[in-house]
Amino acid sequence: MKLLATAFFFVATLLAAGTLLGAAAPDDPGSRVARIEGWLNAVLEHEAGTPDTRVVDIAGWSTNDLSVFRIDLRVFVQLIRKPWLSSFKLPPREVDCVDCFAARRDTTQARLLLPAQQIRYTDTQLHRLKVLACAAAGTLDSVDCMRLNADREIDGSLRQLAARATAARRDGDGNYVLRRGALLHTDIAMATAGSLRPVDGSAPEAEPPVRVHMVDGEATSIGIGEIHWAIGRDLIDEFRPRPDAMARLWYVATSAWMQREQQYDPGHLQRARELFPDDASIAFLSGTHAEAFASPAIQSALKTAVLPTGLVLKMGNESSELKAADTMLQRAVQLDPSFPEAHLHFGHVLLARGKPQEAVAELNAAVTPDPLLRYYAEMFLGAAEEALSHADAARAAYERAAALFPRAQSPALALSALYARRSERSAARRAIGPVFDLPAEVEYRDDPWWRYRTVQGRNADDLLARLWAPFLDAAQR
Amino acid sequence: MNISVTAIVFLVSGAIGTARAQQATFSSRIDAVRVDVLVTDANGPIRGLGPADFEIRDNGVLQQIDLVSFEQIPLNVVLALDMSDSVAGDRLDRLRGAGAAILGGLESGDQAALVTFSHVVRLAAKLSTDIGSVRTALARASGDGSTSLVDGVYMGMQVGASDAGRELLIVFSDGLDTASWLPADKVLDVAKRTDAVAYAVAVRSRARPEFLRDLASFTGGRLFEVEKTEKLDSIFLEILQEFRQRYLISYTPRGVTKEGWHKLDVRVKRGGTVKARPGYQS
Repeated sequence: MKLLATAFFFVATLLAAGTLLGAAAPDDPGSRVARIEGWLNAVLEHEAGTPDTRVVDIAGWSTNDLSVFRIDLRVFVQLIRKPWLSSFKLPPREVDCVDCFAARRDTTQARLLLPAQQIRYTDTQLHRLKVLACAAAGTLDSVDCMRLNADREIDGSLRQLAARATAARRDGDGNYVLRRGALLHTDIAMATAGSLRPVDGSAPEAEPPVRVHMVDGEATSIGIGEIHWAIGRDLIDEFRPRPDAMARLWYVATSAWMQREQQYDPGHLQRARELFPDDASIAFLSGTHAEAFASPAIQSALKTAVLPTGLVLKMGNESSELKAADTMLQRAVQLDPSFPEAHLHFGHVLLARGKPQEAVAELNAAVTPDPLLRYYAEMFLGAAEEALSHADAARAAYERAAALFPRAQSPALALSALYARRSERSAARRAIGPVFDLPAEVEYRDDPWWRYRTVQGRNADDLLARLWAPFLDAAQR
Repeated sequence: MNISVTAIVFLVSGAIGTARAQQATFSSRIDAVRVDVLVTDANGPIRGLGPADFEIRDNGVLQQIDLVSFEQIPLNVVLALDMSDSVAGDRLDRLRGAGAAILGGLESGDQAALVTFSHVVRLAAKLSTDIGSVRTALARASGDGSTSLVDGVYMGMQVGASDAGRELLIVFSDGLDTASWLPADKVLDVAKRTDAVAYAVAVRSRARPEFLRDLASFTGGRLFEVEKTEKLDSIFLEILQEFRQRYLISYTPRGVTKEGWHKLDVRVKRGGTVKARPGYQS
């Protein structure tokens, strides 16, 4: 079994405030309006969950185009809600600033306040944007849109889009374009995951998602990651009256997918927690994200990564990540005490934090018929019992784990080391015998321990299918 | 640290008298301690030393040395080699070449084994005097994935601990552990209880190879940190050469409690720099 991806992405942050503020001027407003119109057509024609031509088209936009588009999209969404607006200002925002504390290499960075940004269009371009907004909102028959003669200025495709948005509005949902837009950018983000664009400093957006590609604990490349997750979050944020069940499922499904694919982005779950502070699944995934960050595989990046001047990994050290995981997983089990997987991960984190007694209690609460989760629970229980000097209980737990996955090496190693540390040499030799006898070929080896860091994302495909299902129904499209 | 009577007999016949006398009086097993010692001066290793030349203190208590052997006991050389993603291409070729070089330096009666590790630990070749089979396994060895360095080292210690002979564990890794189940401290604890001497070769990076440094220190071996792997074969041969220059001292502890950590202090009466493990866990 080949270990799932050994490639990790970490969000890093540009160091110099000067770089952040030295934004290039947005390009021609005319092409920007045309880009919005193209995007609306893509939203209309894209089939959720499919890497179709619309995904390919937008994935080909340059970093600069995407950054400008993100700004224009914010304006456009305002116009969907309020077509009478004529002045647009992006509010001041705080962004990470690490120039003062780069040497600390942690996430407790100072924040930099970016000033408000005025967005300008010509009258003709603003008019066209408003017409497009009327179509996207499904409000062609509103007073404001009729005053714009919007109905006469749109083509067949936009008319079709407007009809669907109108139908959704009649059903009580004023977020037709926003929902489908979020799904479009989700599919682009997933399709292009793993590709990095060169850092050329031309992006006017203040927060380019600089990411680091890691293989086997070493940084192998660095570049601009996909901005599409951020655009998806922007669109979800604009759901009215508020981000709803679909938004929640979007965060759960995409976070599970990211963790399965080791595409780490702490900001994603941070926003999820802000929107859904009492959701057990989001608390759980937040905890497992921090737990993964505390793992040796990820922590090795902190120790070995050689990054260009001005970049710092956005992650804490092992201790701080474990503490964060502890807090969030505790929250998850409080919110849903019958969540075995949350108990399992919480138990592991407690064990890693040197609290074996508490870990045993949590691991015993992780009752599940799933052999995979039972394997982890037995292994962690064995380690916790070992830490408590309960050698017999530890041995029994390791033996149960070995019985669940006979081709796994970790139970035999654990059992052997348990004996060896008691100077029982013969028993140690016997216990490791199964590892000696395992086939050398990786295809015949299967140790769930290798997948532990990503196991919480194993149901990502099911979650995504649930997310897409309502949008695949022809009547809903 | 328990060495059975039969093991002592196999190793050095000169120990029979002492061992049998103690066996008859106290128990069926002799708690003997073996310590691998390298003695050097400005000109290199000092040879020709005998029991009377050494002083060894176990937790501060002077011990009577039963035997000192030199170049008499065959070696059990266990190669534990990193085959993770980061070892690929030229580096893997050089690693294979270095392994082949050390295998070529073994003598009749010596045994060798090959353990490889990525996230998967494999016993690629069992401990055997059939060096050709180990060489074949080395030529075929490859891998990918992350790095279970600690698991691989533990496996190497267990492979070499199975037979009589002096165990030399040679570990190569070019990165930090990213996938082991076993914690480093547990494996270091086991290392304190074994007779293996571990030599480690690590490719220098921003991260300190703390585990390998501690492993070498606790077992009386050495850590080589290299910038590049071009001369890996000469380093491996240097390790073998150095190991062959070591003395094996054996004594039966007296006047000390059996359990716990035993601090060792080895000296050569006529002078010289001594390198040996700092103690052992009983």
